[in-house]
Amino acid sequence: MIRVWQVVLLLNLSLALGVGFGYGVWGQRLTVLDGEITALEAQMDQLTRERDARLAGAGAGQQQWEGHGIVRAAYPKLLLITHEDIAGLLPARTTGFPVADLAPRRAVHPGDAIRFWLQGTSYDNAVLVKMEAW
Amino acid sequence: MTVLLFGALWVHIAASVLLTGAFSVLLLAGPPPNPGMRRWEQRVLSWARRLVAIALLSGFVWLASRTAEFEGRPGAALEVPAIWHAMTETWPGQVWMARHGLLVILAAFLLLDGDVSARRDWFAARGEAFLLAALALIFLAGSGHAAAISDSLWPPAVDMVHLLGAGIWVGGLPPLALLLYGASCDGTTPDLYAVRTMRRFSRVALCTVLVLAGSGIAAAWLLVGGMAGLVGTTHGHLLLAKLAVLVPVLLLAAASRARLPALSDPNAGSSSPTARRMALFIAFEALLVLVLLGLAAAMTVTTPGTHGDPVWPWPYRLSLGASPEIVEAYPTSFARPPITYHAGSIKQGMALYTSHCESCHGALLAPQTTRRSAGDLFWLITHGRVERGMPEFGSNLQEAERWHLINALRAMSAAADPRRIGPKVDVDNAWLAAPDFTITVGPLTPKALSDYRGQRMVLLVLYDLPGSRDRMTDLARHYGLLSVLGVEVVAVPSRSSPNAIAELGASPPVLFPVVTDSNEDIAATYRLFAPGAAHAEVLIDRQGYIRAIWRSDISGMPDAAEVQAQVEILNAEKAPPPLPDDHVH
Repeated sequence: MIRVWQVVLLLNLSLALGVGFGYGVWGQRLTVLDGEITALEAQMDQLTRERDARLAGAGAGQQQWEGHGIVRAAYPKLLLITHEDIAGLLPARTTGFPVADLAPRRAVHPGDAIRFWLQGTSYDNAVLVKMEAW
Repeated sequence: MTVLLFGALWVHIAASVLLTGAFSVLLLAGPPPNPGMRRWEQRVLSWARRLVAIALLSGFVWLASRTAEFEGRPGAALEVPAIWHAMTETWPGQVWMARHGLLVILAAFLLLDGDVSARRDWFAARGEAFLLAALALIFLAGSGHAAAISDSLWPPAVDMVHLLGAGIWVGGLPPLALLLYGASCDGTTPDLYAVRTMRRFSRVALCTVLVLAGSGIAAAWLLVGGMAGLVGTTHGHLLLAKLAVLVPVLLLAAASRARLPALSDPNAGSSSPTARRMALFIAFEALLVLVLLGLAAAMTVTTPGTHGDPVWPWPYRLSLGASPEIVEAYPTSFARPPITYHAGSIKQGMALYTSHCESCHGALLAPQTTRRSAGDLFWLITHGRVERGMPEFGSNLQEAERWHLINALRAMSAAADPRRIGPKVDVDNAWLAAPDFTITVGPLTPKALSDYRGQRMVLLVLYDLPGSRDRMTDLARHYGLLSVLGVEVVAVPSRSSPNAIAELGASPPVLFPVVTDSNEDIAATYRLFAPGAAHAEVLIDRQGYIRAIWRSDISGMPDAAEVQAQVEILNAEKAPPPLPDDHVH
């Protein structure tokens, strides 16, 4: 017959193991799963941007980002834009974006609110390919 | 529903506390040596089984009524999906599950009527029961006010200590009274086992009362806040009532303790009557303690004093200014303004001041206005001062308008302060809080001045073209350097215009925010501190205080080097002031 102190010991061991195992296995697994979901979401976003870029005539592997902002300075090959958060590329800030040679240019001036599209494989080579009034 | 919630919580807390106390007294007493004491132990155990059932049942009622409160409809209390949602998707629900899981384990453990005749088995059984009951009790702190007010672990830890202290002291009283009474019914002297238990309990209770006092003071500091919260809110009143009930409880405890030597004195003759009297005192103590637990439960379902709106009960209060003094007070003296100290509010308040107040008060306020709290002013504006011929505005102005007026009065008083802020930073002397304002640049998501708190300084530039053109060009050129030094430049033209950026020209490019909307609010407010229409620049430190003001009509147009020097002084400041409150006080 099992003694009471042994029952207590077993009960406490089960509780400790249950909590420890629950945290150690399921808790850790949950963190890993969260990370995986975030990575998959980012991958899906990237695939969507690559599809958009392909539909717009860009080469393989290129992505397309959409942004909104206000032109702060306009040069023939560069636009300085104070923009909102550009999903998957940049947080809200002021950035200088190179303008693609073939981009249909409209006359923009400092203070103009624009909606714009960028194409490239990363921030380093992203170029502005299209814009319109916001 | 609140009454049901309170009732269920009261029963649940009382059952949890008594359960913990029952096992702590059993542990203090040790294994019973004779059949009489074993009968007492069995009665305590049978009582504990009922307490677990009561705790579980009241816990379910508590969860159901809390679900109805979460959902905002009484019917949700009987809907399984709503209760399941509250259990699994809310933090209090998850804490509830953990606690009730422990109570279920305890119930199962108590139903297993194992043989505890061996000393090791006895201690294991009672110790385990105490551990489970104590854990179920202290985890209550996880879903209380203390856990909700802060992310820190300290407030719930303080609450846990308080609950454990209550469980050991308060919860131990009924079984102790039963023990003393039972042990003194036969014979002239009570059973030695009972006397020994009483002495041990007395020592433990003394320590526990000290712990309860310390943790109670800490919890009151966190949840009641101060005198206004204590005397002016329901939460504070309940705490005062709790303290009032605690006094006779402590007196009864002291009376019992004073009889302790007589209980164990071999020369004292018959000590059974003393033991019975002590049992009676302890039983009274236990009854009062049930009232205490009811008050504690009521405190749990009321808004803490720190978050409530206190109603000051006396006509005077202590004003802790440069020199503490007794000043007139009103029921709303400690009311919290619902509207922040914002340029938009101040401008509306200034317009109301011009139309309703200026004809009597003039452009400048009496100096005593600055000594009054926002709540004092709210009362005076609402009810007027008949003896001084000031009419009431409670029926003319909406509540929000009265708070706008108070924000304007505060800004006007601050602007009239004899301490002046000029173009040189006064090191380690920040006193003028910068009113918040909205920074709207075209269709971009608006920001607020307060968004920069703790991160960057702000150089607010009030300008007008063409007078300020050279300075704006200079700022555009030096923006990069200022930015590196931790300064954001926010330019505010005198009038709202969607073309404000274009009007500044293309070269050099203007990269700092140029406000295009609500400019009049910002200008009207900040012109209180930099009067006139001339170009002005206001340097606001990282904490949100105005530290330097340049006015072109007084000190000439500021130049980059001058501004940079003041920024560097602020960067070198060793003791940054605390963040100003978003509401006037």
